[in-house]
Amino acid sequence: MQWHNSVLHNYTMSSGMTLAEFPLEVLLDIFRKVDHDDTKPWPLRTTLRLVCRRFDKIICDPNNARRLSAIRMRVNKITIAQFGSALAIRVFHGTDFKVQESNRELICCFPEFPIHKCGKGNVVHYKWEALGNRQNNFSCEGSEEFFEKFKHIISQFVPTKIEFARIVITRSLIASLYECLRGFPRIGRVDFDILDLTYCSNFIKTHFCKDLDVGIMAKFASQFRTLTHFPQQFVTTEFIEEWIGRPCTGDFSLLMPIQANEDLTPISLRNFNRLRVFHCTKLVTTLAELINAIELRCKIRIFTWILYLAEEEREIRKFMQNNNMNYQVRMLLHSQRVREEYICCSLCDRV
Amino acid sequence: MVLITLVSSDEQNFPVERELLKQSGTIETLIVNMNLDDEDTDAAAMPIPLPNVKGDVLEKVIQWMEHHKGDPVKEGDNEDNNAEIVVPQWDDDFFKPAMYGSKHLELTVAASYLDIKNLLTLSCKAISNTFKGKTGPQIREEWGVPNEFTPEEEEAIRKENEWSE
Repeated sequence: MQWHNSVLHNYTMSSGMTLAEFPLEVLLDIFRKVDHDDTKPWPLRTTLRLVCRRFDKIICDPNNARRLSAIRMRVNKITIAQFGSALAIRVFHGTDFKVQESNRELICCFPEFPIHKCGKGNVVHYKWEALGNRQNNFSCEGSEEFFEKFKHIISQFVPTKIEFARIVITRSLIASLYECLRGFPRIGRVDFDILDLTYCSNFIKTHFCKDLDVGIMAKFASQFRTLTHFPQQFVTTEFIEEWIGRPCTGDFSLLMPIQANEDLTPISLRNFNRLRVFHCTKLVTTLAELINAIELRCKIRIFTWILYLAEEEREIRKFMQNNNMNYQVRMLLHSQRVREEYICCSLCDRV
Repeated sequence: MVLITLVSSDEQNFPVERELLKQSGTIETLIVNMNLDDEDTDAAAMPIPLPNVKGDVLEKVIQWMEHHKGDPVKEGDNEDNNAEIVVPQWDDDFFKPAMYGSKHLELTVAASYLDIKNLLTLSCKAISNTFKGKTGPQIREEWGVPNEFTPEEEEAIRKENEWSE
């Protein structure tokens, strides 16, 4: 008889086995399936670490971080900002509107520099505001220590969004941040240009360096579902394919992009059925591609897209009617500058 | 009906319907490698030893496979939905008598060893469900895990996320 032991794992079982003695793979499987309980005083990750040394070791092992992404603590947001020659990370666990009652934030700065006391004593919230007094004159690509800390933070926390503030974004910075995020599930949203005067009184806009290209921005974007204040110059067919092209269901959005293009950019609408909101102008495609995207979108769920189309209204009406689509002119706008007639038509689920 | 005999670590024989064993990736691979599906092979004369599974555990595994005969075998693992898995009532009742004891743990390890994906998923989920709403020491107590931490070590772990309370 020929035995093929390669398929037999080296597991042993004995009576009296405890949970702490489970094979690593099985424990990881159990940890991943634990429901978060928001009413508990301690984060799930801390709860599991406190069970025994083996659990603690497994959860803290960076090699398991991506596989244990489900047990990370949920936080409101993580902000990355530049203050002079330093980069800072702020993990915020609360809401912006309840700052008075909340000092639930963690701030790390690289390299470290003294944080001024201000406001009502040395409450953590005011530290971030104090950081805002530093000016940026140059790009800061981040130290190894900064990215190690960011990686550690990402292995512990899952933010609703990541935002950038007062920062000069370089290719090197984006590539390193991408490496830290790679392998974790997508984060809800990234905002490239926040304007939150609550804690950043002397606001400086995000600046994008010339060494950035579509490839690296698309890779970084693929870690998120929604992009806000994303520079439109990088929104191309290649970008869309990389961002939402991976096997993944769900809604993606591109909100309030930073406009840079004056010329029209041709774009393919393959996979556009995965988009919920797409705020972009100066893009050109064919009506056939648009209808195809709508038809695919209809198959996912009932939806409402507000489409702003250019050129001849009657041509669009004819096309829609021929394809049995619900068509309704909501308003007609006339722009003297480009002599285009814009139509806003609401397309609900297919009639 | 073709029967294949599984032999547990304590030498108990379990003749099992060939169709049922498709749920176990490990046994399926062995069957293919041993040509047990060939018409010329006398499958009944070639028992499959499972040296890491005891008889009482293997009996429970077979019972579970009989109930889930014909269920589609899970492909891959969708980590996004792990917390949303619901343990069906039958399975919940099946795990309950063995819950909080080494039997449920042994069944889970057997599911992993035999590569029975659906059983492993539900068994792990049933264990993880017992963690919900509990503190580390409570989980420890419930599952009979000895406390290895000093008070100082426990405090250090708690302190790491103190800012977020």
